[in-house]
Amino acid sequence: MSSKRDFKGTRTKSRGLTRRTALQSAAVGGVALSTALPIFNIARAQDNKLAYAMFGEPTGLNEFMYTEIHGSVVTTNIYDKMARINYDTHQSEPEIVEFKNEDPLTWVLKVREGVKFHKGYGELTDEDILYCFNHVQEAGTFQKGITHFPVVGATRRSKNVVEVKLNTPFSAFPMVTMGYGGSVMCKAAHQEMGDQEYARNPIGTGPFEFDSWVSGSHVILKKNQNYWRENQPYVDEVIYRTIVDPSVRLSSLLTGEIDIMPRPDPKDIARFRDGSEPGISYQSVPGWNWDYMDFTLAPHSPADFPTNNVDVRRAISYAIDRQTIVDEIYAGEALVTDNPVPPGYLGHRPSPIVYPARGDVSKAKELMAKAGVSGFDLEVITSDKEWLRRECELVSAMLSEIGINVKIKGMDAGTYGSAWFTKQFQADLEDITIVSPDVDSALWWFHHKDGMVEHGWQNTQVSEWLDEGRRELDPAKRTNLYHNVVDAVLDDCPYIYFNHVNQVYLLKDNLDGFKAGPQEHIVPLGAVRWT
Amino acid sequence: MTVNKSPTQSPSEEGVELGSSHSPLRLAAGQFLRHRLAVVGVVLIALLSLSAVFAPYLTPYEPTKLNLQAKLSPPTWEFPLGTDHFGRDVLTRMLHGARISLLVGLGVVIIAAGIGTPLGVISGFFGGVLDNTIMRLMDALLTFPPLLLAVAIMGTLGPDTQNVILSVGLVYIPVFARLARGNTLSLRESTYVSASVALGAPNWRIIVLDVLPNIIGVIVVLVAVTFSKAVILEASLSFLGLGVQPPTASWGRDLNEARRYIEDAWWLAAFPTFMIAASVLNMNFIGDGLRDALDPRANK
Repeated sequence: MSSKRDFKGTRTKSRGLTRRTALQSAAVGGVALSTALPIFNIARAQDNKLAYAMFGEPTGLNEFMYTEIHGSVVTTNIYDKMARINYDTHQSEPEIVEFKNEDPLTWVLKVREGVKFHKGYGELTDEDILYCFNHVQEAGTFQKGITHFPVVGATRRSKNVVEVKLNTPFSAFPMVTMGYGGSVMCKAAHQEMGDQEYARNPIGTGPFEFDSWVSGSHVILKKNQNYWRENQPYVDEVIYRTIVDPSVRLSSLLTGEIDIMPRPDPKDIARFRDGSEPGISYQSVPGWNWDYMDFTLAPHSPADFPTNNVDVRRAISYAIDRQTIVDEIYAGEALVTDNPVPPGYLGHRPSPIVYPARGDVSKAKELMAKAGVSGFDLEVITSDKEWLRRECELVSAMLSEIGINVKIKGMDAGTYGSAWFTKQFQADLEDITIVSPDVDSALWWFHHKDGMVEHGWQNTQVSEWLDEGRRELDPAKRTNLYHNVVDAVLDDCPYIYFNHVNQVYLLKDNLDGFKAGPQEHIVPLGAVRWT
Repeated sequence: MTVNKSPTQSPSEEGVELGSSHSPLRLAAGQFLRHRLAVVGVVLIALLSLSAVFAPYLTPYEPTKLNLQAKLSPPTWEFPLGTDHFGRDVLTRMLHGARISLLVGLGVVIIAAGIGTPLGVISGFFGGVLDNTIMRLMDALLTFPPLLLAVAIMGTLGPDTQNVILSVGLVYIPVFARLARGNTLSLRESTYVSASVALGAPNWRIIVLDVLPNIIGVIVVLVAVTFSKAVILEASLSFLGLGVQPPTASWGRDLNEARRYIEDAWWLAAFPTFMIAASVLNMNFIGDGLRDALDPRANK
């Protein structure tokens, strides 16, 4: 309600919206909004709920099917693993089973008692563990070739004691087979539902049970009231919101819509790193991963294509200024490397072993001249991760110095994965998280001639060293074998490694118990609580 | 039989005989030149086109060359429109981005008008099953919002400049087909077409000499409007990461990257936005001028 003068000069009442009322309304609204946002935040803390921002949409939550980063981030809290990786010791620890290696080909697992499946599916027994091993073999799930390749089969030895027979000794069995590939799923539920239904309605024994999933928006997990770890989980509900854009993730964190976010835009990190942003804490740990570039080699690419010439690949590796990638793409939140073995892994050697952090363009030009290649077009594929597309731009500029004209081809995650696995590309720039702390996981799949993602580098000697490394239990001997492998990789450059990227999280500073881990797809929330 | 002049030819030929100052082309040109905004549009688009063609000679920088020491520099004498997060000169990228936008606009109208117009004319002229088949197909394409359809096609073809031209061109084919068909349907009933039919003129001759010359005016207007829409659609696709791939300069792509620096480097968002808006606005002015000049119904 406001007043104005009529043509006679007398004051009359008007119900129209005047500038004053508009400004007053805006001011009141602004104050209300600015006070309401923290209230929402406090309300979530008071309601004992937690909101986590994923930077993509899960494709499914069934661990018998391949789940990408976002699916794994959720399933980490739905399923327990047979063995859990201890990030501090770089070793695997019993989680759902106690395990011992009776002889090189026999592992004996004792199932933890008193563990219950979600939603009334009963107590975990040796039947479920047997099912987890034998279903992989019988159905040929993705684990068969990646984590369960040495497994012949599992049998029941006595009540809640399972014997797993291998066809070859495998030193990384606890970390790879029972860790990465060892999610404990419910036999009865999986048989009842089948793979597709189970992927949308998972049943596990983890700290949270699945509640609902709205595609493109969020996944909600509720507290598992019967969780076997005492007092855990602390929060009653976790909502995973899909927020792809890092700036939107950050504003959602600052306005209280979410509580934890991974992968802030590196350009924003500095203000949180120095603690100048009240209410937000920052965690950063060295990642078990690498950014890399690789090539399809003959017969998966024409024999006369320049990247089949080892000197051209070496020239590319010399032309890369890895330090600039770390500075410009990751704002220093990464470690330069020229090889695939991160710090803390067996056989790690400080980088650079061969290729300097700042690159060596003149050496690269010499090698191009030696190869007799003056320049060529190279199509480089990458997935939809925006930081990798920027990295591609940087690498493109670096390679233009030696006459290579890079054509970047960005793809959605599904198309990219298909092209990568089927070797339908010339070159690829991507990042990979190493699935276990065993050095085998950083090398075998990529450089063995039978590896799932080798792209034509059929080096028999390297394959023998890698196989021997799996069989060998003596760390010193394994170290030598893996040094040999890395030296061969650095010499032939089937893959070119750039850096290990830190795992960075921003979260509310009144959250306790969150511990950033080095693997992007593993984010346990059972120990997180509001203070 | 010696009488083979169509009635459409008669007025223009009469005009030539009576005096060239009354030729339809001259009348249209005169009408167009009276539309001041359209003339401004032509001048500015011509300047933009020339700048795009001679871009490598207009600035001393390369659009993709890194200059990390100068990254995120605000506009200065050295970098009149500032630099981006890799130190690349924004002015250089704007000029090279114009090449992409104009190329896409041109390619799109060639595909859309080149395929859509004949389809519409054939559909409207022959009618029957052929008409139904073509137009239902066109209707099916028109049910999708242009951006959604372009995204779907790009998803299949993969991101690339040529694929942007192809996908956006396909999106606008039905627009040309519908317009051409509608005009052909009314022309088919006209006296001079009936006369040509009665005189035994073959269908191709009637289409080429009687129908096409009479719909070319509205098609030209649509070309101008579609050109500007194609520029926007290309920018949208590139903004979404589906269009032109980095490091190639593209207004839409650069605008997307600028979002990261909206609080720190205003120039990164401002200039691509201005270039997109200015080119689209000027093409629309030209379209308005052409409509006034070539579409008699619009004049009324």
